[in-house]
Amino acid sequence: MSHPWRRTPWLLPPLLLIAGFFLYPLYFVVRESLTADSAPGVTLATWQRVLTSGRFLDALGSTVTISLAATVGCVVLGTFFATVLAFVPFPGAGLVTRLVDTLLAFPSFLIALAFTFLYGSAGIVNTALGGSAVGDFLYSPWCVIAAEITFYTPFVMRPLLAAYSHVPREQLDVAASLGARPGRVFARIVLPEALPALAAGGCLTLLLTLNEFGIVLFIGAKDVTTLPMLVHSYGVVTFDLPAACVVAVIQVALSSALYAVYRRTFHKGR
Amino acid sequence: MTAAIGLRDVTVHYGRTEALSAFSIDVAVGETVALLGPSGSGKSTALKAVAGFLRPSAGSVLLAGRDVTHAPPRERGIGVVVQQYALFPHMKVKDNVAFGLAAMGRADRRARVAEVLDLVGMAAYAGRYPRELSGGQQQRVAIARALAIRPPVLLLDEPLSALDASLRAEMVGELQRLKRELPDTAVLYVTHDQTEALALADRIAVMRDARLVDVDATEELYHRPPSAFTASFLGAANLIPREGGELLVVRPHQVAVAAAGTPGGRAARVTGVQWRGSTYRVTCALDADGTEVRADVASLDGLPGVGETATVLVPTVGEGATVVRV
Amino acid sequence: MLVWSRRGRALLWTVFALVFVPVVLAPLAVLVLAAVAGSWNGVLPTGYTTGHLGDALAGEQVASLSVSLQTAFLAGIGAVIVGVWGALAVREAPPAARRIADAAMHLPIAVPSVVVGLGLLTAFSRPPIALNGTMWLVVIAHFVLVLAFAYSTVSAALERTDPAYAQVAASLGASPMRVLWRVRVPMLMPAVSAAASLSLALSMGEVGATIMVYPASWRPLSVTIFTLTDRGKVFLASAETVVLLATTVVILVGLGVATRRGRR
Repeated sequence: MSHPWRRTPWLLPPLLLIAGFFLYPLYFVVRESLTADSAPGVTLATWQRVLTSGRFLDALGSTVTISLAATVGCVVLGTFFATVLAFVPFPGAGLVTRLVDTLLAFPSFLIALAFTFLYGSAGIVNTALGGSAVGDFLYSPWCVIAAEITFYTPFVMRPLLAAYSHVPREQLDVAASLGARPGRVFARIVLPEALPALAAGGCLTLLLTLNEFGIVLFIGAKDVTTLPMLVHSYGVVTFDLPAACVVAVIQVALSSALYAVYRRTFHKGR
Repeated sequence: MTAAIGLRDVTVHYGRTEALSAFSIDVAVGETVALLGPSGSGKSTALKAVAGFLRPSAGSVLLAGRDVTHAPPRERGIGVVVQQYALFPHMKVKDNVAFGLAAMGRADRRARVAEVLDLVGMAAYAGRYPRELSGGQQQRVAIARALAIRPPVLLLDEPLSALDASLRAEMVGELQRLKRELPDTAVLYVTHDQTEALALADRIAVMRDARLVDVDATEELYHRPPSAFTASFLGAANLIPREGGELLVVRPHQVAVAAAGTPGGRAARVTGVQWRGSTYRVTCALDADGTEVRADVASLDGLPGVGETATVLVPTVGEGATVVRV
Repeated sequence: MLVWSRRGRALLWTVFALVFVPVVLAPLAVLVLAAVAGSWNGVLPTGYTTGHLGDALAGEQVASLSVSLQTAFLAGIGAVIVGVWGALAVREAPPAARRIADAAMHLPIAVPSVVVGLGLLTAFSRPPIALNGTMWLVVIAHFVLVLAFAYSTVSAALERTDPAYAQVAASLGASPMRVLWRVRVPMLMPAVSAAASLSLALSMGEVGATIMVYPASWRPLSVTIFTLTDRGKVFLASAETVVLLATTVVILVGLGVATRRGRR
């Protein structure tokens, strides 16, 4: 068949752009990570320096902890919100769903900014409850986790709401007429059918929270450093480009591995 | 004796539209009542009100004399089979059927599942998933699931509408057999198909525009329809105007068509002929007022062709036709 | 319906409100309040002013907004064109090439934006192509980051499109190019509009890569907001954020209306 789109060359322009503006720079990141000010040529000196530094290990630890905790929070909250909106809708539920959809397109730092007003030392919560009710919450990892939960919960809700829309309402009706309580209907009918979507949403959230930068940057807690923050501070604050590249390579390896799992698990069916 | 199902002036609104208007009916223990009507006539709404899937804005729903108008579905103990079956896709057939038996012990449950699957002839498929079954088989499983809880009342909402014609005829026979095996179960059967209603129901309630039109024993309603709507919906009767604002009700098989000029008939023109396998349906327009009359005839031999003039022979009231007021 | 009793539903809705309001609604509301707060010593602002919003739309700030808009338009248009092209090409490619190309187009989603910025900084700060200190590094960074989302949106829509339309068009004697222009691309317009909206919105709010590569002469609004926050000018930063969100929403609504008009 002489279908022009059948010919693979049509793939070349977009792929060349990806190669030029994404893969080629990544190659430079790897190359740069193998240099050091102290030694000429290809060297692992910077790798050694970064990997053994407490700063890196701390950042790795808090990145993983924060993103795991935030993901769990998002999955729990997102499931609750989506279930109520889809199956126990109240007047105005449609509006709430649209608001949640809009949040997806907003920048994450606005949540961080709002949190400074809510939980800062002179913030609303402290003023309302008197004194320092929430203490140093703003500068603790908990605050980053809370902000990420607020921002990323919609990322769990959207695939879940899409999956819920494919669950025939008659199934819930019939289950109820067979004597099942709401809890049992949810656990036995709704959840099994939504599980793939929930897993996909959770996996994506884990990836995005691992890579999250804006929230951590804007809250600006000195004790909370994540890998993307470390890339930023090595790269443009202390101008230690090789060290920034080492952290970047590790981060890319981590994220790509997770992304590969995500694609392998959820794109098989296509 | 108290009716198994009682609807008392039940009114249901969807937003502003009235989907069911002051609807009342009783279904006795062991009786099958068909709700028959075109789509949008409120018949499914009535069924959902009995099941508890929607809440009436007025009136009350009684089950064995108990007012359940505000009880949730799970407290009603009714077996429901919906149009697309709503089998739980991630559960095997046996788990679907066992779903309503959560309160039972394990051995009892297994025995009951085997028993009802056997009743619908699906015992061999207990380990399959719904997607591995044909439409007719899914239908049987849905019925088994509803019957597993030994409901005194069974609700069937257009249960055969998703099946093709030959399977539908087979399932009607199957449902007749089930009815004989469950003599104490009251059945409310919602359908738009008059053949299903005629074959299965003890009584038929004809519905239109959210209201009950007529209700009576099946044969009575067929042979002596009280209204023009029931006459045409049940058995596709011809309605021929008579003097005094009355309509003559004549079934197509009672009408004969003959060559133009045959005495004792009405002058007409043939407008169409459809071959239906065993018979031909000949459509004619009466010269007098253009009324369309449909006749089922065994053979076209000696009959005028489409576009030609003809004579339509219609029985009189004494010969099997009935009369309704307009 | 999942919960049938009125009491159960009321309880569930109360819990929903008790969680949803502080977690999702409060931060948004607080931000808007801060943008118009004159002074804030109590639980709620003690005075209101439009001064911050006025400042947010003046001088340096408005220049920054214009930089953001230009960047978003350049990167967005590029991403939509390449995204649509890529989605169509990937769909028609043989299965093996299709899988690899699809993964490649999605890849930037997996990489943190800071790393994308770092990569561009290291790769294009030296010959043969030295772009450091120019606006182009910012535009390219945004293009790379939003391309994956634009592509993903269009290719998902393409996946859902019934191939019968294109087949019918071809059976009526249309050349493949005509089928593409008269049938396939028009049917994709809602997805293209969605991709454009998403690209614009993401670009307007991008910080990670931007903060790595922006030159002093090309400072997008998101970076300006960060600088203000960092200097403790949180009210102005909030006003600026509200301006950013409002601008984004206005453009998105405009795009949506234009798409719907075009379809009529």
